[in-house]
Amino acid sequence: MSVEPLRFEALSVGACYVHGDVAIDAASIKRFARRYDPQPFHLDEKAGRASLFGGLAAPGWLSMTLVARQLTAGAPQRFADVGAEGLDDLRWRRPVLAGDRLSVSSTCLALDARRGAAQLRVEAVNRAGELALQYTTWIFVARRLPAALER
Amino acid sequence: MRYWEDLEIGEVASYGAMPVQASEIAEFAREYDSPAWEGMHRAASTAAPVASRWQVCGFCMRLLVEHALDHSTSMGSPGVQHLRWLRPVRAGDVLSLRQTMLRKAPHPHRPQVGFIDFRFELCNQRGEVVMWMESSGMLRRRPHPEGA
Repeated sequence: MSVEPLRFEALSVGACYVHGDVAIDAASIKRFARRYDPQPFHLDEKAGRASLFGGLAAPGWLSMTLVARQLTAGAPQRFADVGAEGLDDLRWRRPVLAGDRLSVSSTCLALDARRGAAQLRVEAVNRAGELALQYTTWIFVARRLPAALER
Repeated sequence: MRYWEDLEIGEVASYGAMPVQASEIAEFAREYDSPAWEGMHRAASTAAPVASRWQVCGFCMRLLVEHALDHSTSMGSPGVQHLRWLRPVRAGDVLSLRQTMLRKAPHPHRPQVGFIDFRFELCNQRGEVVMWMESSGMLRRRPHPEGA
């Protein structure tokens, strides 16, 4: 299921893109937490339940990494993403707990043809239909190559 | 223990000297990056492999947790207002973090929780800022404020 990535020319302001789901389990939470965010509520079920999260919670940067990957590697739609300057208004709105599954989508807010950049609002929704994570970002999207160079 | 009440606006702290290993860049790329990004790291890696943007966020978090967060009062983060990657992070770089306390506000509904906003600058061994962000954290408040 290697879908052709969307090039800059295919994008339009207001369009919504669907990038598929990511599943998050206890083992992947603890693995990431040990290396990058070793706080008790990311390492231990009991500490997670006692925290504001109410369960073993994914480190915010793990959720972010997995959601962002869907933009370039997801299906049915993905972008020919070649980089980004940063992000704005990232909100971890709800805890992402072991066993959760997030559906990732994005909406194109603006296009900058000169730089080949698209401003996206990215959203990840859990199985209960609640918004778990959202952010805004400018990503650079590869343009279509001249026909002579396309293979 | 450092409670929300103990942090002062304008307070600056710098910490860490974390060497970036080529092996952990390769490991992160294998585990979390999309094939498109892996190609980019290879293309960019004339000298040493380049860490993915999200791994750089991970390095920042690791420095914060290992050096600054008080596990007994830290309650997680609601989000990041702004984040910019300015320079590549390569294997062999040594990273440190500088934090500036910007704002604080009590939680509107939970009397035991306070919000704090920080600016973080992740620096390499040449003193160049490789990434900065402004983000919020939640911190436990002192149990008996009238006695503080």
